[in-house]
Amino acid sequence: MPSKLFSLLSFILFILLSIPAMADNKPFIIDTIPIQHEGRIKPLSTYSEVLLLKTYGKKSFNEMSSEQFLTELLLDSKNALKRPIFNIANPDIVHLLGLEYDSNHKYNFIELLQSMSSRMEMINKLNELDPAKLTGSQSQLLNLYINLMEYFEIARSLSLVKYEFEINNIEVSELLNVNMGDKLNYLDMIQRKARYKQVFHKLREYSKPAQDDILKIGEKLRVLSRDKNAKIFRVMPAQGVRKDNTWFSPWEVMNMGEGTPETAKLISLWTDLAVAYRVKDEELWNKSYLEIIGITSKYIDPNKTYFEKIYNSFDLFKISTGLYLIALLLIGLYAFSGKLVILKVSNVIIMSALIIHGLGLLSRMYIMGRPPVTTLYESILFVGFISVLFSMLLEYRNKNSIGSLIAAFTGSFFLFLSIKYVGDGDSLGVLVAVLNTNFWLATHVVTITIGYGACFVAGLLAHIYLIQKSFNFQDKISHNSTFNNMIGVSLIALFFSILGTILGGIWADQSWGRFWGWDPKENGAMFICLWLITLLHGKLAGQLKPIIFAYGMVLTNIVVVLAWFGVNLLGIGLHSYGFIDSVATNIVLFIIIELSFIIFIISARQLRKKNEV
Amino acid sequence: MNKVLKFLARPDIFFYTLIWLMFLLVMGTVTQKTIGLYQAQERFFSSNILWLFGVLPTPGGMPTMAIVFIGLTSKLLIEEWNIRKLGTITVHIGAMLLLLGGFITGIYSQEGNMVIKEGDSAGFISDYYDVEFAISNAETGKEIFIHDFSKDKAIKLIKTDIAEFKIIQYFDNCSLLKRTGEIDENLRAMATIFSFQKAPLDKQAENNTVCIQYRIEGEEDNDGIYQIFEDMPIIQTFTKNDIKYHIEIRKKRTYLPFAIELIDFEKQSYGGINMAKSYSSDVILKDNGIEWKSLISMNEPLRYKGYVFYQSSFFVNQRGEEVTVLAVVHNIGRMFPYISSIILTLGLLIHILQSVPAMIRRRNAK
Repeated sequence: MPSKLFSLLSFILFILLSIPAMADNKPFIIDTIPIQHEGRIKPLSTYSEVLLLKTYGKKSFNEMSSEQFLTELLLDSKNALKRPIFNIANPDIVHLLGLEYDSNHKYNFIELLQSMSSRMEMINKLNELDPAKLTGSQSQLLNLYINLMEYFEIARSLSLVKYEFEINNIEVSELLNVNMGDKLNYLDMIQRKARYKQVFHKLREYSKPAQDDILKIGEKLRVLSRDKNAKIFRVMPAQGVRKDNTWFSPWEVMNMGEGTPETAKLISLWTDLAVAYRVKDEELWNKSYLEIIGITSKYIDPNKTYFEKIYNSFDLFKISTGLYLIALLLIGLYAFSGKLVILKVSNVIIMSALIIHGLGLLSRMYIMGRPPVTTLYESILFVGFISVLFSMLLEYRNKNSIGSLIAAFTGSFFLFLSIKYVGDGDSLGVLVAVLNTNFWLATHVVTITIGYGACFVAGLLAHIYLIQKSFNFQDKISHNSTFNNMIGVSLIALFFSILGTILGGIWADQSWGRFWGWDPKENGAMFICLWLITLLHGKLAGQLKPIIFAYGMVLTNIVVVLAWFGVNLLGIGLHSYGFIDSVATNIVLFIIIELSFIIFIISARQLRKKNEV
Repeated sequence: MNKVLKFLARPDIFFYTLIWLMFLLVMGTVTQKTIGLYQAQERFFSSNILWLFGVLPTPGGMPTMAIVFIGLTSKLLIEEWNIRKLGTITVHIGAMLLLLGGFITGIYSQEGNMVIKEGDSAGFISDYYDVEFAISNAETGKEIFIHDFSKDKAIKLIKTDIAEFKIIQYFDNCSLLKRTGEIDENLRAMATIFSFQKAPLDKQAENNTVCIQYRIEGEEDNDGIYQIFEDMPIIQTFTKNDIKYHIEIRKKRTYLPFAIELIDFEKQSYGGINMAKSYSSDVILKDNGIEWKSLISMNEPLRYKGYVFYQSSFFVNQRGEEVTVLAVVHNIGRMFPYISSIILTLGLLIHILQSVPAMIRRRNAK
């Protein structure tokens, strides 16, 4: 036991020690500077991942990290716009845009923009239609256009601080009162706007080369002024400009003309950052970067943004999935070889995976400052965690590998499932007003999801019991032990389901003025309770034989899935915020698998009875 | 007596009743998609009889839950109480109280909403579903007569002190059609412009508009056929002895012994996006000359004299004024779920502690 504990602690220590190494700030990469995006203040590292996932479908682009990619897009956009960053997997869209489809199907901004601009009439019409009425391809085309525009907006977000003007004509430099060879940005030019107007009005009085340069400056100013609508890059906490907590993009601050000394300082620092990036001045970069962090630290704890960046770089749930899968393979190996050491190793791996899984949940709680379950995605992560935890407690009590098997299976299954529901955007989203209460999220939501987790463990014990019983695996004592475990866990599941449902009722009473409103989600929770009560009473009163009870417990998995995901498909009620389109197919598939299992067991038992006769 | 109780407490009755309850629950949930929450609730959960396939009478939600309640009570009465059964007995008491609370709430609770514009006061709640026929003095607002349609929809004649109203048609939901061609000379007011057409019930109960057509006779100039519907933009009037009256179909009102004034409504959004973070109404409660300032926000209701006011919704009216919508509940059975849930949870916990450790026992110990 001490050796196991030691291995576990070493593993955790390894992870913790790796954090500072991975977190070192590299020069010329913007990652921990905060941005306000989708209602939340987050590090640009998170935003860069969201942007890359939306366009490229991955969290990194070839050799570039998402942060490197974003930094280039902001500060060297000419280069970034040429990169084939748009991943269009649907050949119909590619053909529609008149591009060539190949196995790589990645396209750059410039070629897509050229293609899109001749199809703007169609895109505008699609944009006016009800999104629910669009076909898959139409919706993808519209999304592609939206992503293209967001990408371009980000590329132009800092155009006002980048040096776009170089005065190489002595006559022009004198006219504008700047030094020959000076590099100026949009802001510098705007300060000289009145002077430029005077010069422009007397254009014919100057030499031809000077006239050309003056006209070029005017044209560039006109082109740059188109960027004034760039609003996504909200990196300026503008207290004083507005009373609410809205942040602004540099262009917005300039447009409003109500900046504060702090916003002026920030714009100057972003200018320095742009210069440092262009001339690769590491000292200037670090100085400006730290100063930006210093100013924004008044609005968000820099440790939190730093931590979120670390959380992004680790992908703890992916590590856990890998470990659960390895453990599952090892348990399979143990079933064939019977070597106890393999089971012990797999248990250590499961425990490590569980700790990492838990760290992932804790990290999300720390970043968002709220309980672990607020979205469908988070509920899957949490149910997975609870299932593994309950299973390992069973294993600790029984030491018969069944708990380990269920733990490794549920851990990998739920974490795999979660990938489908993480979505393209930031999985750490803000909450709708009614959910914005930590007390009820921590009590009702957590309790009900613990109930879901316990139900799955009981359901899987039923699967194992039916296999043991039907194929005469192991002895009768083992069968009884599995059966008793199943009843024990189903009682725990009932406890959490009832407690969670009642707490939900009390929350509804506090928020909506009624304990029970027959809303689909409420009915779903009640259905789980009634199902478990019926099975347990049926078993106690003798209506249900053990084998029927076990079939019922297999069906519990279906009941839970319907209550958890299925009711959202109705798209009605006060809880319909969890709705996800693609869920129907998966539910049907799950139900078919579970029913097939029951039919298979019934057939196998019938066959065995015939053979015995 | 004991025999009767034993019969009522039979586990098989309880078992099959639970299965039937689950059937009702599934049907009542799935049909919400097509008929809406209110109708599903009326048909499956609050009903005494459920007409299966329209012809087969089966127990509705109320008798089904009553059977569960009776079963639990009988079981408690005949059961031998001992420490071994402490968990299950406690659970059964908790479940009984929960059902009892549900019954009391269903019978006695009052629910509705209170709509107040910024700067205005309101002293009544409007029911969510039930409507009434109301006559009031147009000048003073004093109510002269009320008929509650939820108690009698089939009424043919409404007798009042000012006139008799013969109800020709009543629709739970209707649509308006513009009249064309020659107009019947008996039609009056809005009835000369529009006719009513019965419309199917909308699954969102609040989208249904109750309409009535009535005839007034023997009142000289007022004689004729009239039509009114819920929330008519121009209120129908009736003048007698130089007094002008308002005649309305409106959501049933319950007057409160106090009033609430809305000082300010505030919607807080997440920065940079138009998504609400919270809503709140700054109000003054006025009761017998005492003014009490209070803030009603999401998950933070105002409780006063048995009434609870919850922040439910808001809108901006045509004049650009902010209007808050408060859900108001008066429920004497409100504490039942709280008490019963504590008892239920405690009972389950005792039961689990009594039985689960033995079930999840180490094999070697066995």
